[in-house]
Parts: sequence; structure tokens; C-alpha cells
Amino acid sequence: MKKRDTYWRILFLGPALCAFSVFVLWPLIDSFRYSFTNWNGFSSNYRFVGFDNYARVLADKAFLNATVNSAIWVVAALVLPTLLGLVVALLLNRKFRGVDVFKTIFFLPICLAPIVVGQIWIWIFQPDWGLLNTVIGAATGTASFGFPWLAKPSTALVSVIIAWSWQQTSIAMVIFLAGLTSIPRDLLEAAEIDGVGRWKQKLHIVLPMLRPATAVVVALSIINALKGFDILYIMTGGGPFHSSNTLAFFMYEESFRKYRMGYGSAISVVLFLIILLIMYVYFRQLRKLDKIYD
Amino acid sequence: MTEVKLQNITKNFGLVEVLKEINLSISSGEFCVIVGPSGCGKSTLLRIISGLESANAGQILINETDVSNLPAGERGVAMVFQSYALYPHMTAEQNMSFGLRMTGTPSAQVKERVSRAARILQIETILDRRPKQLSGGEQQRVAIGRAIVREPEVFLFDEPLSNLDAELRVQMRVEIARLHAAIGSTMIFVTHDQVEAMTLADRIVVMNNGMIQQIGKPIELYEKPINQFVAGFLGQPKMNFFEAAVKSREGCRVEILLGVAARPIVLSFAGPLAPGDKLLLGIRPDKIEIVGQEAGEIFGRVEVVEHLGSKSTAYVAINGVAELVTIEIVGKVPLDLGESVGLRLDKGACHLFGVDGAVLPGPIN
Amino acid sequence: MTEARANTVPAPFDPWQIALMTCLLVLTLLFITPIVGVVLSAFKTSRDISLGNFWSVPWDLYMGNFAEIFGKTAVQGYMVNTLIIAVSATAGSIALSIPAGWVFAKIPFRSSEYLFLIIVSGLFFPPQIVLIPLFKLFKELHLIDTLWALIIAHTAHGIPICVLLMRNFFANVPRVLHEAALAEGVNEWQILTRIALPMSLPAVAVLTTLQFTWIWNDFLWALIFTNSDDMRTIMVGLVFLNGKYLVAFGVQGAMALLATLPTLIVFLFFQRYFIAGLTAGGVKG
Repeated sequence: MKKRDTYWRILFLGPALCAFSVFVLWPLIDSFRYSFTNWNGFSSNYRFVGFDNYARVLADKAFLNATVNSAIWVVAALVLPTLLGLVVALLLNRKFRGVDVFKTIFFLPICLAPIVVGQIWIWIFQPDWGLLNTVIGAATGTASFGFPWLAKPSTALVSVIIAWSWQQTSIAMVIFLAGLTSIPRDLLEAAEIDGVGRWKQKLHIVLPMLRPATAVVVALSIINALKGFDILYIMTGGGPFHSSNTLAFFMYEESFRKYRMGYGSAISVVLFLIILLIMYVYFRQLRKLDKIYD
Repeated sequence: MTEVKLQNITKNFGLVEVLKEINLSISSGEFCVIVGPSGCGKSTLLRIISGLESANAGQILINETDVSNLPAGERGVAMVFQSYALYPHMTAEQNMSFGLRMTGTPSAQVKERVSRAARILQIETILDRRPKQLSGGEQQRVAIGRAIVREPEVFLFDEPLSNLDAELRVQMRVEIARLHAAIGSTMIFVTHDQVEAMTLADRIVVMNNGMIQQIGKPIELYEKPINQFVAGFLGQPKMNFFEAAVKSREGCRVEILLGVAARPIVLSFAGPLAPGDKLLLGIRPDKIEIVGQEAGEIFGRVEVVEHLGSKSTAYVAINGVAELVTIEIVGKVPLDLGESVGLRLDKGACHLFGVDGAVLPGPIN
Repeated sequence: MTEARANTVPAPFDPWQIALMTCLLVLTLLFITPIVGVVLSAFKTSRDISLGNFWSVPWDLYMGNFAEIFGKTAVQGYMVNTLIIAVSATAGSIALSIPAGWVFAKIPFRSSEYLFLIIVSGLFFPPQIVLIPLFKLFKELHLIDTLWALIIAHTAHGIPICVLLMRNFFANVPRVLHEAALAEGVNEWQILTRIALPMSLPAVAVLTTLQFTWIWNDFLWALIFTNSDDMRTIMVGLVFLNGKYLVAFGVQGAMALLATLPTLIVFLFFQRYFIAGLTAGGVKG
């Protein structure tokens, strides 16, 4: 009987495991290897350079800049899409005529490609006729308010983050909505009979029961913020003057624009370690909170 | 017809010994009920017979063939589960034919077997419905039908009636008894309900703590339990137990003092007992008589009386005994709550157990 | 939240509800504006837009933009390429992950938990990390600048999320059903395909949607693994053509719409299953 089981396990798991090992696991391990070399991407002779790349990474001002920008993005990711997503989910978790229309509207950004999202927001931030400037101009009475959001180093990164948050909020909303619908109505009805007001209901019943969903939203937002590439590529290309360069983009630049693949690998490894660290701390915190509340 | 033999079956879950050297022979065509409290290992034993679990040691022989290493589907057994386990997205008919279809039975044969089973179980009209649309009793019948169509050597039932409401349970019990009479296959039935055991079984196997306590016909186990556990497990209401000590002995005449009984109880007992020995006296509720205070051997106060129409149950509190003594009385009896009464025991119906729980051999009068 | 009770007495004027609705409407407006803008722009001439009319409603729909992009064989090529890649890789990763998920859910073994965690951890790292080694690997296999590189890469990288979701969903299939089928002599493959899978259709729907969208929308890998124009995907094509059409906003808008159409269709098609699937399998995992 055990032999039969083993047969099925190998048959069922084998293909997926093979594909995963060869095209996901092995490259992951390999990237560590390349980070210790000075490979440029196409030549076949490259040599082992030990920790040189890492030393350079840590001393590189560009790396520091990219890290700071990534950090800013992560902080924004924790706040903006999470809160907005929650608010919208709460607003949409009621029954009224047309609620499905609203749900569909907020649902749409999810299926857009980040490239398309970037494209759309380029138009919003357009200096001459972009929506933002048009609205500001109309509101403040200035005839032609032409601030170049994406071209100024001080606002480039923030603009990209806002564009990204727009889509990420939709994702957060969907997850929160799924979590909300799984809260049994009788809990809230019991509270109502006891005379608990709506706000208190939300605070003490709904929010605590949304903890798993919130955990997912936060984790997803952080990871997506650190991974963000497409939207950056099309909106600012990391500029102007590297003011919106993040770790993910920095790595791409070094590897595929400057042909320093070894160095690029080192950057990606550092990025990976940063993610692991954040995830480790995050899950530690989650477990602590679970212990307090359970 | 099929014999099932279990030899030295042992099963551990981690460090816990769930089954300890179980030896059991079930004859062909027998309806064998394995009964015991939760956690006694009965379900595990059934699952081992079925092949869904494997034993750590021991063999299972079906018709003298060792099937211990065969997977469940190849042993020629069919199982009916407590939760019916019907495939929710298939109709009743598809549920019943699924196993046959998947193992290559020709469709003409499948059809024939399904309709025969449906006729036996009277579910012909619901064959095209999904489990959701069926009542509990109907679902259970489809589950049984699924077992019948496989024409197995042995039928295994894992507490099939536990999920049904009381009335349905009685109905289905009768159905299963009828089924056995009609088909005649060997059936192994696991339950925790001793009523089901007593009413359905040709032979009962009582289990506790992973070991077989006693095997025998229902009436044998009822009248001659070999230990306190079996005595207390079978029979409704449960047997009453009294802690006692031997006061004196003269040949066959033994005087036993029950706890704080006023008068000793005199029995005629041929077995080994000496003055001062501690023992347990068991007596069934229908073998105790309520008499006036002067005639009684034990005294107590009536706490609760239950009137069931054809009979009544009285619960009497005895000084010094923690549990209430249960007495079954035929018909109605005028008892007042709080009334002081005397109890007289039917000597011939007493069971004596040693302190270790084993019954003391020797006739009792 | 409960609504106002309205049986025989008409609901009283509730300021709270009004406030909430206003809030919702404002947010909705904010949210929908970008999309509306793109849709509108696709139907205007580029000259019109650059004159400052991006946000006005084009009562006379200008179809020239669409004509232009549909006419381009390059664009047709991009769409076809992306379709081939997305459909193949979605099918591939789901097909590989269904049996794998079944093993983890129903026939696990001693080290299967660790294996599962390793596979799922594939969700955590940014694709940038494996970009270079994958590039080198495909280079050695001579698959760079072919559709195969993308199909293989996306299939393999879809495995973590697909296995996660399928395992969670299969865990919800009652164990008794598995046992009942085994006792009937049915083998694992039949159990998986005829019992578990029909019961888990919402999960498969969710997975298909997610995978298809993710792969269709991919930019980075398509950028790196393909060079020539006839191997390009639509997303890379969008950026590439933007370079050419620097001020042809109308055309850009039309392209953006075209690029979004397939995922939109897939999403609307599977929308019902989406939230059900998330609730049962995803959020708890």
C-alpha cells in the first residue's frame, strides 16, 4: 500500500517539482553564484571576485539612494493602499441598489497591466493638459498650471508611488472584501441587540476578525512595492537623475544597461535578503500579536 | 460465503497503543457487532480490516487469504461510513455506480447491479437526485446501495446510524437487519450504542482500551458477563454496582455486607470467597424490588421517578453510595418523591466481581 | 452593517447613510477618472488631445486610432504572441500544480511540509533575482528571443501560487470521500479528476484568471528574453511603440485599451468565482 502511494506521489509531484527546481530554484541558487563573479552578460570568460561586488554595493551611493527610495515606497505601501482599500471595502460591504456596479468599478484596475497603469498616470501627471494640473489650475484660478510632476526630482518618486497605490488599493479592497464577507452576520446582529453602536461594532468585532486579511494585504503590499518595476520603467525610467531609482530598477540598470551582471546579481541578492528580513520580522510580529489576541 | 480472521492485530499511534493483540474469528454469513465506548479502538480495527489503515503487527485473513498488504480496493470489502461520504456533485445513481465504472465493470452489468440494489433498498425513485436533495435516511440508503453493488465478500459498517435522529435510527436498524436476512453476507458493524449491538448482532465483540473484553451471543453477554466492564456496558438502564465485603461464610452460605447496608445479604455461592474479601456486587435494575422498610436489605430515599407508560424507572439514593441506584418497575407504581423505601435483591440475578473486575466463577442463588 | 429597517414605516432620513454614500461617490470618481480618461482619449485625434481636450467627451467618435493600430501587422503579431504565451503558460502551470496540490493536501509524506514551504516561498522573491541566471540558462538552451523562453519561465514561476491555492482548496475536500473512493477500488488519478476537481471548480477559475492576467501583463521578462519585433509581447510593444508615437496620445490610448481587453474579458467572465475562491482558499492560507 505504501508503495502504491509513493508511485502516485512521484507521478503527481514529479513534473511540478522538476519544472520548479530547474527554472525557479536553480536560478535562485545560481544568482548567488553570479554575484561572486564579474560576468558582463555575454562573454564566456569571467572570473571569481569573491565579495568584491558586495563591498562595492555597500559603498555605492547609488545603492544607498535606491534603498532609501525603496524604503519610502514600502512605507507608503503600508499606509496608502491598505487604509484606502479597507475604507472602500467597508463602504462596499453593504447592500444597496447598484452596489455591484461600484464593485466592478473598483475591481477594474486589477486587470490592468502595470505598464498600462503607468501609461494612464503619465497622462494624469502631464504638465500641459494632464488632469491633475487642469484640476489644480481650475481650483486655484491659475490659468495654466504646468508643474512637471514626473520631470522634477522632488516629485517623481511620489508620483509613481501614487500611480502604483491606485492599482494596489484595488487589490487590497478585493482581499478585504473577501474577508468581510466571511464574517458571520450573527456576530454583528448579536452586538446590535446588545446595543453596541455601529462604530464600536466595527472597531471591536469587524476589525479584529479581519486580521488574517489585513496580514495578507500588508504582506502583499510590501512585496509588490519592493518588486515594482514596470510602472517605474514607463513613468520615469528611474529618473530624473536617479531620483526615483529603486533597488529593483537599480539592479536592472546595472545588469542590462551597463552590462555588469555580476554586480547586478549582488544587488538582487541584497534585495532578496532585505525582503527575507522584512518578512521574518513581519511574521514574528504577527505571531506575537496572535498570542496577545488569542 | 466469507470468513474473516484477525490474528494478533496491534496498532500504535505514536507511543499510544490503540489495539493490543486483537484475535478475532468471524464466521461466514455472521452479523458481528463490535461495540465499545469512544476511543476503545473499534473504528481503528474496522479501518484496518478495510485497508484504509494498516496494522503495525498481525494478519488479516479473508477466506484464508492474507490480505494484510492489499490496498483497500482489492480486498473485496465494502464500507458504509458514518457521514455517508456521498460524492456531492453526482446523482444517487452515479454515486452507486462510480466504483464499478472506474474499475472497468461493463455498463450492462453496472446497470443491472444498481437497479437490483435500488430495489432492495427501495430507492428507485430517488436515483436521479443529488445528495443535497435527499434526507438523512435516503442518503444512508444510497451509501448502503453503493456497498451492495460491489457484491463484496464482507460488508463493513462504521457507526452508520450515529448521524440519524432517534426515530430514523430505529427504522434503519430494522432495514439493516432485513438486509442481512435478504443478502446473507458477512457483516461487521461498529457502534458505540449497545442497543444496536444487542438487537442486530449474531455475535457481539465488546472492546475497551484496545482489547477485546468478551465475545459471544447477545444474550450470553447479557446474562453471563465475564467482567465488570461488559456487565456495565450492555443493558439499558445500566447495571447497578455495590462495593461489598464478605461478612461470613459457611459452606455455600455466604453473607455479604453492602457498604452501609443494614442487613447482610445472604447468597448461596460455590466459588472462592473468604471472610473479609472485598468484592463488587452487580445487579440489573429490573432485578431489584421495592418493598417496605422492614422487608428490605438496603434502605434509601426516592429521588427521581420517570414514568414511561409501560414501565417506570426509580432512582433511589442510598446512604454511603455515591450514585443513585436505578430500579426498573413494570407498569406504574405509586412512589412519592422523598419516600423512604427498602430494596430487595433477586439473589439468583446477582453478579459478583472481584476487585480486579473479573467475574467470580460459581453459581449464585 | 445593517440597513435601515423598512417594512411598513418608510425609512427615516439617515444622515449617516448620506455621508457614506457621498464618501463612496467621491472615491469612485477619483478611481474611475484615470480609466475614463484613457477610454475617452482612444476615440479622439491626437491633435485634439494635445490641444488640451484630453478629458472632454468625444461626441463624434474618432475611430482612426483603432484603425491605425489594428492595421499594423506588428501589433497583430504582438497580440498573437502574448496570447500564445499566456494561454500555454496558464494551462501549463495549472496542469502541473493540480496533481502537486493534491499530494500536499491528501497524500502528504514526512518531508512534504518542507517541500511545500520551499515551493510557496517562490512567491516571495522579486523576479529580478532570477532574471540573470534564467537569462543565462535560456541563452545556453538557445531559447532567447523565442516564445518558448517566456512560456517555460511563466509556467515554472506560476507553480508556487497555483500549488498554494490548489492545496488549500483540496484540503477542503472531505477526507471521507477520498477514503470511500479508495475503498471502492478507485485509483488516485480517478479520485483527483472525477471527484476533487469537479468540486473545486471555483479555485481553478480563480487560478486561471490570476495566472492569465499575471502572464499577459508581464513586462520585465518579455523585455529581457525577447529582442526582435516578431517575438515581442503586447506590453513591450506598447512601450516600444510609445517611443515611436511620442505625441500620438490617441493611438497610445487605443493601444492601452487593446492591451487590456483580453484580461478584462477573462476577469468579467470569472468574476463570480473570484471572491468565493479567495474566501475559501486564499485568505486563510
